Amino acid sequence: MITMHPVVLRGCTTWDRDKLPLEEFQGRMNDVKTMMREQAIDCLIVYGDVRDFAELCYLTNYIPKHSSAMVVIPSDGDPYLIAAVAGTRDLPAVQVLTWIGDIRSTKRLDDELNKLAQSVRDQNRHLTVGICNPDLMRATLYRKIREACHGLQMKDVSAWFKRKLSFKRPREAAVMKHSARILRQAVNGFRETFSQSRNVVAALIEAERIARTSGAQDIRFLFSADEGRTLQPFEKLIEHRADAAYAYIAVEYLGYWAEGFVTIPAANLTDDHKAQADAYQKASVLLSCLIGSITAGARIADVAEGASRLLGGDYALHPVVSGKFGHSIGLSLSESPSLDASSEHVIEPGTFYSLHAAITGGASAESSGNALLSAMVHVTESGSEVLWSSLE
Amino acid sequence: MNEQRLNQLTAKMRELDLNCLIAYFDGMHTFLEANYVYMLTDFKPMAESFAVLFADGRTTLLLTPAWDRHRARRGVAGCDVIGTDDLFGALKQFVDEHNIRWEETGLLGFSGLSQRSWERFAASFGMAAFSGTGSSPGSGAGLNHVDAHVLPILQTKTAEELKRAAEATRIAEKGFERFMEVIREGVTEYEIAGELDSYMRALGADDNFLLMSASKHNRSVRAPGDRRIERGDLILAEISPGVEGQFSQICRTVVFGESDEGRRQLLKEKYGLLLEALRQGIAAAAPGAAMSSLVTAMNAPIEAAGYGEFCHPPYMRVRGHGLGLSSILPGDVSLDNGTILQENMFFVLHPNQYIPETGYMLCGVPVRIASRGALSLCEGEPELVFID
Repeated sequence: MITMHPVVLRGCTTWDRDKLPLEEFQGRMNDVKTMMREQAIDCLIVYGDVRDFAELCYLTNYIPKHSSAMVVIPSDGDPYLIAAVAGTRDLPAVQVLTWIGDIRSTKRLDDELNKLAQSVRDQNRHLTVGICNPDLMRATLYRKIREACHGLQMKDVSAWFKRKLSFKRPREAAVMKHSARILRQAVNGFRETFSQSRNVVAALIEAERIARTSGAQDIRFLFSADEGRTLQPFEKLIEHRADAAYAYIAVEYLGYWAEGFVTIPAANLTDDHKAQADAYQKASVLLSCLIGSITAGARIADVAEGASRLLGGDYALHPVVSGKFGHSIGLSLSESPSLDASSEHVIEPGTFYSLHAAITGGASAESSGNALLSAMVHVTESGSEVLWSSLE
Repeated sequence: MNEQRLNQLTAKMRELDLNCLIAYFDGMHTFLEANYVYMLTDFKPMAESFAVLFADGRTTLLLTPAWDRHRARRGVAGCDVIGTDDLFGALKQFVDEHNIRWEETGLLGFSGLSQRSWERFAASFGMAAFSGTGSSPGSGAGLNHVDAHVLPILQTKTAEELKRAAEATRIAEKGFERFMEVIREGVTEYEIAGELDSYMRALGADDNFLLMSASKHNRSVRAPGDRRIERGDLILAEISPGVEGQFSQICRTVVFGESDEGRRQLLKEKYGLLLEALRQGIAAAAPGAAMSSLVTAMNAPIEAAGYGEFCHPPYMRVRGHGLGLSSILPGDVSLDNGTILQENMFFVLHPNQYIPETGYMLCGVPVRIASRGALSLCEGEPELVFID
């Protein structure tokens, strides 16, 4: 889901050594080094920034708070982190956030890239540099890396990481569940505040407070001021009181995301609210269907087609979900695969999905209603576990 | 767009013989770089977007995702809005429909293009994917990057930006009051920050470059972690709310639970150096003065007290900086910044300082350069606050 990106990640910033101990990262790094051997890569550069940090965080626990960083992994030798820190006095603050002992500043990036490339040339083995996320880094940075690595082969291994990160290791699954618990607390706070004030912005501010004080590093929210037709981020205080509320809340804890759509229907149903109520009922049935369909072995295209049939002709997917019934989720708010009819993927155990039952429409144009519902599920060998649902 | 800015920009376009400016934003709001799309539209997109300004003042915003167009149409006055899920395809269509020629077009913010987006842009317009040299993609290959020409226009703030800055400062100061209320033994840094951030949101802050941390001996200020507040801690807060895209910043230090009178006196004495540095900086900040001269003025009392070594990296980065969102000019308050101060420049002055006996402490206020000198937007001077 697209939301307003903050200028700095200002929530709880930590390395939780109980939940994600050193051996967890060492295990992940061992898998990467095995891949490097198999793909004849001498040195690997993994890029991440404050928006797209999945692979960087997966390997190092480090998430840039407002810029970018790279972890460099030699095939022989210890990895090192190149981080955009303001100065050397900030390095100790970075040190406590990662198990990587060697932290260097991007102020010396050109030197670091030249040293990296020279070390590969000196080894004179495969003369290959692997790179993860070249498409996400700035074009100017990518050019610097290409120029420094002139004469060396560059191999893009982003797809290997995307596949790797789609399956959550047991400790990752535990953190995902914790993220979902924070989401539940935030949503409950939202519901309670809205029921008292009927002010959706005030309710979301309370949800944000709860999420932040519960340990979320980042929280995003959107709300509707037009009965669910559109969603918007916070721009300034507005006095909007309504009978019904439509919102989106996402929380990030230790890098792992949980998200949810929340629709609170009008408490007292009148004729004006009938379209709303009908849409809510339809979305509820759709969400239950999606939850029931997400099992290991199911083809995503079949799930999406079944969901589309259930929607029927009166309703369509809400524009904010961009034609999809959800997506995988983890260290990225939106991971591949998406749940749409064109997907060739199969649901696999160990994956997490955010299911979207966000719809608009109704029996007639005059009585159009909106409902935004969702659920977070963990796919296991034996079925799926619902971590959070709008229908709770 | 603000009329003052529009007039400045169209005048610059005439000077550069440009018919069109195209600004790019990558979707990641930052405190560190200019946001030219925001500058041209006074609108904060949530994702990748372009803004186009013609020499006759017409402006168009092309933004993603398509569904956000409704918010843009409500919020952007005097500007056409195109919502799209194919940004580069939409730009190509727009360029073709309006007969925009690259040789008459200035580009802004294109250094922010990711490699993937640059490839899409290049493919849309038939350019080689890896063309050009220099700091912006495609420079030297027929594309005219004009950031260096346009950015100086943003050195001074408009009346509207200053109004928002004043409101952001008010929110920051109210936030500091709340900050002091929530501090107690055993509470985590992130709980304090969470309460503070939400409180300021409830007052109208649309974003916040908030850093907050605590220690018996700080090396710098950082993002809040899970450390629990202990008696004797120095709690640092860099509180930087934004109001409709304009940030302000105050820098404050709180001493919690320090019962040793000798230490209290030491902290007061050393904080007094920071306050004196701030006063000297404010006194030096007048129209016509070089930004670098403010650093000399601010360093003087600290150097005189024997801490000259600590007035430079790695102990200290800058003595202040500009505050965006559209631009962070006049830039850093640093010895290598020779910018000459003008009326209506706006920046934070913060003689945040590492002192070996106390650790790092924060002290800073936002100032506007007026005809007679710098005016702090804060009510009163910062104080070293003791909470028992």
